[in-house]
Amino acid sequence: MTAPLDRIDARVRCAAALVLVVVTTVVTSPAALAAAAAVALGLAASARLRPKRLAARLAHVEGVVLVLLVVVPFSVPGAPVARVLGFTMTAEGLARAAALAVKVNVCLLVTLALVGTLEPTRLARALAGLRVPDRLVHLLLFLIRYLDLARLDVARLVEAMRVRGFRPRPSGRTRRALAQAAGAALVRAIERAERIEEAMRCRGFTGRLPRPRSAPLTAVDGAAAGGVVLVTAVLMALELAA
Amino acid sequence: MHLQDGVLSAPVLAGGAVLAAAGVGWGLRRLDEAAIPRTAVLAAAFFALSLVAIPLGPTSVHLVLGGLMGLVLGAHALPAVAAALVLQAALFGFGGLASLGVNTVILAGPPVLVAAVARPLVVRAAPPLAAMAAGTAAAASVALSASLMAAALRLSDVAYAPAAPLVIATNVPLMGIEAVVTASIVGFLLKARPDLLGRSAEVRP
Repeated sequence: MTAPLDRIDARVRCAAALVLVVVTTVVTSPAALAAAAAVALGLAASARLRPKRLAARLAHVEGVVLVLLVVVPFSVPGAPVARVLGFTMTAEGLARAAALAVKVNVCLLVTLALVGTLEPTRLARALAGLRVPDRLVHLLLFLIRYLDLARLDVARLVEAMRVRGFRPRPSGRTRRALAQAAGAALVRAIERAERIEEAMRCRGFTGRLPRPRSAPLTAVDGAAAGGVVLVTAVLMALELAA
Repeated sequence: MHLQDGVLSAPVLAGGAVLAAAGVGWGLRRLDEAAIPRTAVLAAAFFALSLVAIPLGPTSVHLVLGGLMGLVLGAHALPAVAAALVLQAALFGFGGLASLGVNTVILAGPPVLVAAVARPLVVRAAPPLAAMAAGTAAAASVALSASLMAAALRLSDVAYAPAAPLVIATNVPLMGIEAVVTASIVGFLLKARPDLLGRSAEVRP
């Protein structure tokens, strides 16, 4: 099942996501933020993001964001609303905290809808098309290739420790066990890297990969880019009108 | 330990992007093309290790292993972390696109700096001293990263100011944990694969 957004070129989607995230960062007026939220929800719907997984991701609030949401209502001067533990909560502060929460979630939705739905290798090719340096793109491609293997390696080590009855405690034994597991993971990684290097050299690898050819942009891509420009203009107009 | 899109102000994001682009460009110039697979595999291992949550009393901590990554990857840590952050932002929505620069500076800058300072000792000193130097570097790396994050918050918005000392305070336990764990890992690597840390492999049994 292809989502409507899948018809848009990956390069356009990456650029559009960056533009929308930056605009959302800049605007502050409630009207502009509400419009941005509507756009983000629309994108999430047309990317067919799975509601359950999305809700789980949105419910996971980063620690720093949580701290800011608690601090900001008290640290912005303005009309007092309530006093908590001797600190004064202000109406302006509450509004700022609400705006922060909206901004973080809008940025997250836009990124997951436009970029998160791309196959990782397609993302890397799109970045190459957007003039990201070749070496960085190659690094990204190899990282995509080996990240899952590394995670499985580490998961096996953790599982093995659990099977042997490992319980972390503040003790020297815990520290040594953790260090040996982490060290083993790194030694396995370097040994794997050496095998990969040898295998690639056997096949004549000298550090160059073929440059992917990107398909020409279509009318759909033009319309999408136009849509992003329009949304940006509307958001900025709402911001300036406030 | 990174910042979400939507939190920081545009000037801070732009400053972070410029600094990160310079740092990543420098790291890429020093990255031999044939060494890219090796760098990626090691970066993947560090990334995977940083995803493991170690239960600690009522909460859990994630190891960052920044200091060790700086020692093993050197300047290559900058592009490696940038690439890992691209994946994390795109696949899981952690961090974010506009914050890529700032997060690269926060997470990769300190490791590269502290490793440059500690490397002579780690490469030449006797194993116990080398491990201690690495542990100290790891703690310094966490402290610097937390300070950079606090600075990014403070520079973005005066209203965030009270959060800055909190960010630093919550990272103090991590400093200690990173120091002892990194020292232990380096002790292990000095026996198993000293070449990973830039020492000659002759002492291998």
